Amino acid sequence: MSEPRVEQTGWLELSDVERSLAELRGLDAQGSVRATTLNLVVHCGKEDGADATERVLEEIGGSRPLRAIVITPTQGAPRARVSSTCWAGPAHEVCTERIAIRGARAALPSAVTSLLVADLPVFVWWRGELPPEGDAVLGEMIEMATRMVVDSDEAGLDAVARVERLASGLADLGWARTAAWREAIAALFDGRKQRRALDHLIGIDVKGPPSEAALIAGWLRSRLHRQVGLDNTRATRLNRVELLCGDERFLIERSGRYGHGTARGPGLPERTVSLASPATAALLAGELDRLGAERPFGPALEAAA
Amino acid sequence: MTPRADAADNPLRVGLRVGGASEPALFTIFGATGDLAQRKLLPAIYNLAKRGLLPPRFGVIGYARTEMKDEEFRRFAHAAIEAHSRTPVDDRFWPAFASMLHYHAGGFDDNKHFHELANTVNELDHQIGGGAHRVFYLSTPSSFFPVIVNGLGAAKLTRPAELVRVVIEKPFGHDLTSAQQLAEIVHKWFQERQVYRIDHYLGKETVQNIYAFRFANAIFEPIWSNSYVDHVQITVAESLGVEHRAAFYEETGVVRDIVQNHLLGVLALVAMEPPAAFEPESVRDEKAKLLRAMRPMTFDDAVRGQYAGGYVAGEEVPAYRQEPEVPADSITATYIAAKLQIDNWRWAGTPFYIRSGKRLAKRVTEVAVQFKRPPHLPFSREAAEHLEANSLVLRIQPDEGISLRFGAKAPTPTLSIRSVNMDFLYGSSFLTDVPEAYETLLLDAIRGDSTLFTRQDSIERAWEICDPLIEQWQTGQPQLYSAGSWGPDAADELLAEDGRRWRRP
Repeated sequence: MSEPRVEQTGWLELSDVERSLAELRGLDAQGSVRATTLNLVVHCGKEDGADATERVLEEIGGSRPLRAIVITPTQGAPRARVSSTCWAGPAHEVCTERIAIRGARAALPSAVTSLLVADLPVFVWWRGELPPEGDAVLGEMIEMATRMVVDSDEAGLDAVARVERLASGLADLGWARTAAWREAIAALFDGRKQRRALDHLIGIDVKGPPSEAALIAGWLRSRLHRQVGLDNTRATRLNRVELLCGDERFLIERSGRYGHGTARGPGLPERTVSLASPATAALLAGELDRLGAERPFGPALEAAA
Repeated sequence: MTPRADAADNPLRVGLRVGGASEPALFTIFGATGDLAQRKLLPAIYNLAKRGLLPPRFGVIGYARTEMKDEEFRRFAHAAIEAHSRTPVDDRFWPAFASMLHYHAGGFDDNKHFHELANTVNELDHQIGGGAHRVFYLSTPSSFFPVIVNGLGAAKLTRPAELVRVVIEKPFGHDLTSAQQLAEIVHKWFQERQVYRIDHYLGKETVQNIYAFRFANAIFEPIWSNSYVDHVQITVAESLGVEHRAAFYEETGVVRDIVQNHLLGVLALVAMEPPAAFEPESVRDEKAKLLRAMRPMTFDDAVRGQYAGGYVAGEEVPAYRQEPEVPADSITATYIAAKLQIDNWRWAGTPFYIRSGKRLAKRVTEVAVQFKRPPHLPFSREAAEHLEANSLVLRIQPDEGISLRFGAKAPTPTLSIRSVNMDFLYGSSFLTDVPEAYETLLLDAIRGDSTLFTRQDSIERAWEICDPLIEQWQTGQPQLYSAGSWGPDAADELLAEDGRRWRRP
């Protein structure tokens, strides 16, 4: 994709946001297309989180035309800065709109509500740690969300489990990071002989982030309806999963840096498997395409937490 | 007996979101060194692998006459993919992909080659853990189809039926009789559910979008009938001539090349009844029912054309009869315009006009649904004199998208109503890479989903619709049209007789 064209304003009153966006659209020399398909509200706990969010939104690019509203709690009445980013499409430019809002925490949900594009799904991505139970702002955001997105690697499994009980269709980026590993594990047990070994699964040994290790263990427990032990060696990303099935061992291990690894087990030839570690932008984009949670997630989370 | 794959019963597979194939598979390409394999099949398999959509246990067997080792075939595949893939070759990924590629040299004329192939297939099956689905892709001239199918049968490579599939490229015969003869040979060894007849046109994202447009939106289906639709125009126009395919085209002509397969396939999607489910047999039953309701084409309702010299996009081009290898007295049709009628409750009385040709003004494929005019216009004649009937245009290529034409008040002091277009451009809402049709179709064949493939009864019915016209066009002369135009004048007259005119795409 070519470099996007970015137009941005200074800090504005909320009441000036829509007019400024219209003006930015008017700057398009060749007439761009505003085909918004969803609202994405991003809650950043810290100011530097807003910069990281900007980079993620840049990477999502024009593949999902959206209105992004990035909120950061500070002090005072909410003020906004708007920008429009356009990518060159096959025939026209495709533009997304971004509204950054800073202001008193309690005032932010109502500021967001006034700026949502009508009648389109609202995804709320809560970055970082989740507030304690009963937090009013989190409650209001859950209320307005068609789908909440959190990251158990940042927020912890217990907090995610608490939100999952309140927010239907919760998306967890930590769970999404385990997708290629779950696919590779499932493929180990497609054959009949290996399926019999699965009946004797007693434990797994995972090298990777604790919450992702716990989610894989929870997934296996909930799918197989029995206890599966977990040994975890902490690492910044998933590198290795070993499954102990009685006397037999099945192993999936990352090799090198290029998103691939090997899978092997009794009666199986060693195979190259895809173990992609998608960037946050790719994980988020994948969740924006769906309005509901992956079916095994809830039971896996419950069994993991 | 090959062990059954049981991935469907694997409790760990429940709810996995991966859209690709999961069960182990071996994909054999007959004609692996040919043009189609180089241009489409190998790049499609590479891109599927790159997108993580192939099964974890997967292998490709290239089969052709040329003697080659696995390593040479891998280098051959690398060159083909580098030249034709929509994504560049990733050197870091290549070793993992190349390890899936294997080669088996053999001819088609002796069953011993197929027995040797069976050994290779079984050996690779064992290597990848057993129970692999086996897909045999016939990427050869159609004259080899019978001998390959018989060879596979003789080597017992066609069973078990639940694991083995054969993919056949068009043409599926050259008339009804030859299509039935081919089917007889194929059905001697394969059950119909194992046979995947591929028409890459039907795998295009925008053709598939016709399903979504019609059956995912409640607002169009109620007016999708003879009560509201005046007529439908389907255009498949090419700006190219016959290029290097003159010998093939002389045998084929526009009806066999485009109408019998692509065009009737698209028409069936536009006109069929809603299927109960988006499942292979439900969808294919509805397509077959629609084709059964269509009257065969007749001489009186069709116009035959052949391009004369002219200019296309500013470039001077020769007449068809001046193309290399084309006889100077050829009567082969390079253009057709025809009126098709569907005798069912939904479409009786609403004609479907089709046109297709080579060396037309531009390359475009579109379906235009022309609605009836309002029963009464409460405006003055002057106010609405520029108002045209509503139309809905599904643009399949290029500029993929949908346009709706409706009347709107022009910003003038006196009331004046003009037609305006509301456009939806695919590239505006989805700025992602669109997969090649072959990627979609190959993946479907690997995972055993035949929804987008054509069933034998539809093939035969399509020939029944086309054969009378092909027969009648064996004599007489086609009407000449200038290259770069929209076809012969008689095509305009065909619609003018009904008080209608062609859209200019």
